[in-house]
Amino acid sequence: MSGEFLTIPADSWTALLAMAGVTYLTRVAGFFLMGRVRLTARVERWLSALPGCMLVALVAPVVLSGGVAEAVSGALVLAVSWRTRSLPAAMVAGVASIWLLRRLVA
Amino acid sequence: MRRTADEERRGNAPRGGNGPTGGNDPTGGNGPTGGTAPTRGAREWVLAGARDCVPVALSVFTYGLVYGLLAAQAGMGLGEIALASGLIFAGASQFVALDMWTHPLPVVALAAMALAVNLRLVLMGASVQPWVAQSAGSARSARFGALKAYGAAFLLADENWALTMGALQRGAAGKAGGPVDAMAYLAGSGGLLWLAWLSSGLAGSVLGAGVDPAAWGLDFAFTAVFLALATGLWRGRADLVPWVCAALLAVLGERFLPGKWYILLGGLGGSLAAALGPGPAGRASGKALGQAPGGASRGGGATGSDGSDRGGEGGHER
Repeated sequence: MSGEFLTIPADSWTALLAMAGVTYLTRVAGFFLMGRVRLTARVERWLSALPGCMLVALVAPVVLSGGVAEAVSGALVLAVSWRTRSLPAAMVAGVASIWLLRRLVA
Repeated sequence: MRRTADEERRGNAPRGGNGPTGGNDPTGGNGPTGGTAPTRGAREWVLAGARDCVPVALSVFTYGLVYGLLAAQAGMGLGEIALASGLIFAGASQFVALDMWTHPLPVVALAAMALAVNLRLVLMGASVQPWVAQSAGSARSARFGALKAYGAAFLLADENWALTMGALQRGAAGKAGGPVDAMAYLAGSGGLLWLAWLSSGLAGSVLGAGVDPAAWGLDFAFTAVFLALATGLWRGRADLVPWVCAALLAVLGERFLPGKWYILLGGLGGSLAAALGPGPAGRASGKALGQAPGGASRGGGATGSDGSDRGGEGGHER
């Protein structure tokens, strides 16, 4: 049981090492290379907008075209997260809401 | 010996750094106050970093429990979670990867996603770079110094970046008990974060085992986490157009593209809209990257308004 859990498939090795590699590259690039490079404001805006846009792109299809329960729960998560700034609280609210709404709809 | 190295370090302070260093001018700390304040060794700065990081590490631990639970739900085993948290050590990208975690894994898409989500680390690394170069350059053996810097770079994350910038600022104001060894401080705080992140990921996966996700609405936990992370990244009106672009492109992409490419399509499209649109007012163009991007001069713990201190483990519960 635990041995099975500890086994790492070949494609997981590849994927995880590739992700670790590029992530380390981003860390080292700032440390060792970028001190002398000047970024234009445009490139800097692009870099700083990237993570937020990635997250939005990730959730948009589920929230916007997933159904009523998803849309309402998504809005609730946004509200809770905005007020509490707590990730666990927002997650619990979202999960509870979707559980309840699906039950009501079904 | 250590003392000598520290004194040398002070001497090699990056005076003026990379042009306009704003509120973080390192010469401030190493000038008038440097001569009289007691000098601390690198080891003490490692410990100081770890100590200052304890509250942050606790919130990272909670966040890591959630990651472990969702990772187990996505079908990752303990070994895979250990590898991911131990080697990638970047929360946001690890969360996004879970959504793409279907065997055979889309390796290229995963790597491209990790690159895109973690590009912010380039900005953070660049903002501490003058101080790190200083501590690396002053080490007795240049090769050992470089090795240490590569190690400290591995531990760079949103949270300890913010803490380190804060410590450097206190140092510049003469309130840190001597010039701050940025590399040691970063390594100490980052080391503690690494332990918290790795252990909580494993604990979360064990605690969440045997739970049927869909029956409890846990399949929505992914979406909830990402939405919550996104609110932590919201910087104001300037984000509206890029985010709407990202959302629309993603919805279209999900309909017409195979796999998870809609994530990259939306992310790149939205961020390009941000780059091509009018910049925020008052923002100088062509800044040196060595200058702390935005949030740095506001001290530790403060969330940068500018995208440098964002995403990942840190947007919350600071």
